[in-house]
Amino acid sequence: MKPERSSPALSVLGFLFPAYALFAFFVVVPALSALALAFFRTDGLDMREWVGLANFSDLMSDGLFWRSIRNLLVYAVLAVPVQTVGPLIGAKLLYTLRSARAAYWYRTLLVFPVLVPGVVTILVWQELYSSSGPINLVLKTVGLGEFARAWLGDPNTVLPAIVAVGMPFTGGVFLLIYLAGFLSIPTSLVEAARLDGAGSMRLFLSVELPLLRGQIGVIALLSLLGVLQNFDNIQILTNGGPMNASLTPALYLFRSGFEFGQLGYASALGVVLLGLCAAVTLLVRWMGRRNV
Amino acid sequence: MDGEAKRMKKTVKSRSSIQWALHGGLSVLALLTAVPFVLMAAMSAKDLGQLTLSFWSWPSPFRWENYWFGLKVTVQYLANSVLVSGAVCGLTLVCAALAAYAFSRFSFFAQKGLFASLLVALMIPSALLLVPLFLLCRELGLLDTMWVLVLPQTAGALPLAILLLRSFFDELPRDLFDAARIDGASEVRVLWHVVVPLALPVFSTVGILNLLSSWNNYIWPLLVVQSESLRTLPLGLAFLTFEYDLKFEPGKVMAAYLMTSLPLLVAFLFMTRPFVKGLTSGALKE
Repeated sequence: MKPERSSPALSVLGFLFPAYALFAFFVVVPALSALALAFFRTDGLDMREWVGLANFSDLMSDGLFWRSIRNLLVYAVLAVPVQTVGPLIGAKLLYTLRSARAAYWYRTLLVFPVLVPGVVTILVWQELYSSSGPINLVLKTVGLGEFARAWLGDPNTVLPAIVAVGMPFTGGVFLLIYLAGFLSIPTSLVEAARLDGAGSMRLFLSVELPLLRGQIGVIALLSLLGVLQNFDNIQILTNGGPMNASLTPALYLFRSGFEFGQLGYASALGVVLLGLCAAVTLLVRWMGRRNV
Repeated sequence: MDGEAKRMKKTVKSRSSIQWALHGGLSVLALLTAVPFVLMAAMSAKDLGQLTLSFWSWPSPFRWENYWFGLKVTVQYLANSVLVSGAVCGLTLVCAALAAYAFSRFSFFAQKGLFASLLVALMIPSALLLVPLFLLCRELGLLDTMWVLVLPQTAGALPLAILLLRSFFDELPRDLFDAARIDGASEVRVLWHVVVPLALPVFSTVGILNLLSSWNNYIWPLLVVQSESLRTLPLGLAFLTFEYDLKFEPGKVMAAYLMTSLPLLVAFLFMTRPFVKGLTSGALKE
């Protein structure tokens, strides 16, 4: 037996160093300085002045902030249910299909948009929505011309239009997560239920759905966090317009930081957003635990 | 007996009609999924005149030059994206594997705290980090370089990567490490020759997750890159209409989108086999 070449303590340090150096430098330091920055007022990119909680109190009396919160609620109510239930339906159909070959092809067809650059999907939809685009063209052709409109330019339709970019909400990574859940259900349970005379609907509601509770919770959470945090789709499609009808808090943060140069204010908004994300996470976890 | 046979027949019949309904439902979903991309492809072969006058008919003449144009204007963005995503993926896998190995193999001072910090980091919304990260990178003079595209994205990807790798490493039999160590292999050799081959499935999972997120990242490059020569794919595509004055050339724009969607689709078409193989042959039991 050869002697140890190096002491464990040194190895540990060597193994951890690359990851933690990057992590500390580009995640921990920025996170802490975001917390600190929230208490400063900045003019342009450099002038800084300690203002205590003023950014937060300004935020509370900022009509635009509350507008963005209202938009966020509408957005979440529209998006989270379809994003959570859609892939579940897709997975159930695939799982029930008897031909494995057909299931493979359908799965491929439902999942392939994941591989298309997200920006391409967004920009294609922008083109579809444009006033001379295919959607309005179809409406005019079938005689529903009065419904044709600039879908992203109308405050009443802009949020549903942004959500609809994910249509038909049955694919993507969420589908794969559900499918893995279905496949992990023991066949003995399904057979027992069938022997007891359970029909397909009964089987789904009383056996499969309860067993998939974990997956449903995770996906609802991921969907909700996505709605809270992601804003690149809105930034590209409308940049918050028309008349702030699609401005969300995350986009407001981005714009007040980088369009208006209010870095302190943006950081305060970020802290509020962090609080919302943490609250949502804890809430969903708590609900999951209570239902067990 | 007769009634029994009848009932059997009936259930078989209703089962097969359910199967047909499933085929119908899934076909509709597949069709709906494909609609935007089919329209993209259909529009990409036409010029403006054909798009306004004969939107629904077969393109004639077929505007092949749109694709040539699409390729020409995006090839630089594609190259940048391949470089950045490749670097982010590679760097993340190496750093995360080393750290995950340390967490799984050793016990050391502040181990729990260090690991918990990763879990906390997963909850931080990326929007919160944008402002301070931008200021930091400006301070360091990293703006408008490749580094600013690679390093922060790698750092952001590390927590989840370490988490996934560690939970996989923890499942590997301990004797394997010890046997290799007794044979005189260094820890790095154990990681590279014993752990990595066994953990290929989880490496490919982490790699693919990483690839997709860095390939799609739009906001960060938008903030930190000024030069056109450094634009990644999402950024280049978002600016395409403006940059090349294509407001009235939707066909060309769509052709560019199509050309830039192909690489990843084709790559996955060819990589499905090794990926699935990695998933099934990765487990060395006993």
